[in-house]
Amino acid sequence: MNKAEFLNALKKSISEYPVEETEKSMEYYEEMIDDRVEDGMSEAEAVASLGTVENIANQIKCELPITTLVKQKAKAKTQDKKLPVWAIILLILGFPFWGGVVIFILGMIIMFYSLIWIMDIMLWAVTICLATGALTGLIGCFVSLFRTSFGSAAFYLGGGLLCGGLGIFLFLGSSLITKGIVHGTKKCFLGIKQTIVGKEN
Amino acid sequence: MDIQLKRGILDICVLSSLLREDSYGYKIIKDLQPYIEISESTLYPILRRLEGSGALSVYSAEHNGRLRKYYAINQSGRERIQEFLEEWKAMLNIYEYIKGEMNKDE
Repeated sequence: MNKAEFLNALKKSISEYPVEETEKSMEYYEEMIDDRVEDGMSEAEAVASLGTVENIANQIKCELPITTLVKQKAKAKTQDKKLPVWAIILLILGFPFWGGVVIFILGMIIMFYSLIWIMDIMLWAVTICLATGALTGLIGCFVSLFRTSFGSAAFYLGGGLLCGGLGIFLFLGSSLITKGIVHGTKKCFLGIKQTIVGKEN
Repeated sequence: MDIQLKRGILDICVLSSLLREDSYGYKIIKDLQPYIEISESTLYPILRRLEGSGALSVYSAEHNGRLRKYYAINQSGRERIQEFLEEWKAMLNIYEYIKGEMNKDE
């Protein structure tokens, strides 16, 4: 691939982004090729050393602010198929109906998400209770060793160990769940961004 | 190297390569290559970001009958390098401590 071919291919793959953005990127890569050629490389070598056009286009895409991407996507969609006037009027008139549905669905999503967190927080609370129980049991065991009988000491020790064991088990569980939720949330956001940006091919 | 860490360090590397004199894309890459892995497609967004935050400014100048973009470091860019050096001084102290403890352990 020579310089002109490379620049054409790049232009094609980023043409949907703001003109200013496209021009700046083209200038940059053109300068890079020229400088390499000046340094003694052949044009084909210089182009090859930049990597694939897809990679470069992706990198440019990734650095664009998400607002620009959304705007661009929206623009592309409206250009694809412009909504007829009657549809827009219908959409506006119908807002009380579909607006309610949208708000309801959003509310459900938020509620469900909060519920997961609340359950996780509750698990943590139980874990803390068990940890406190374990501590109390051990202290109780010590105190009764000196003050009362071996029987109550053994009772305290048993209770403490039970709490401790369950606590460790729950601690592992709840930290796994917390990690899972955080990971899932991140993935969801990434997924949303990717649907806006478009699938990387 | 950790991606987030490398990203921050690359910013500082690019700024540092402009300290002695204004530079252009290809030269920045060549200057940095012995120290850190950097390609054209990684440099480009870094330059745009640094320009956007005012750490450097861009101007075009003629070279061999074509225009070339030159990058010049600004005051805020210098301050960022200074901050980096101070942060890493603290980091080095921690490094020495950890290394010392490790040696004692062996």
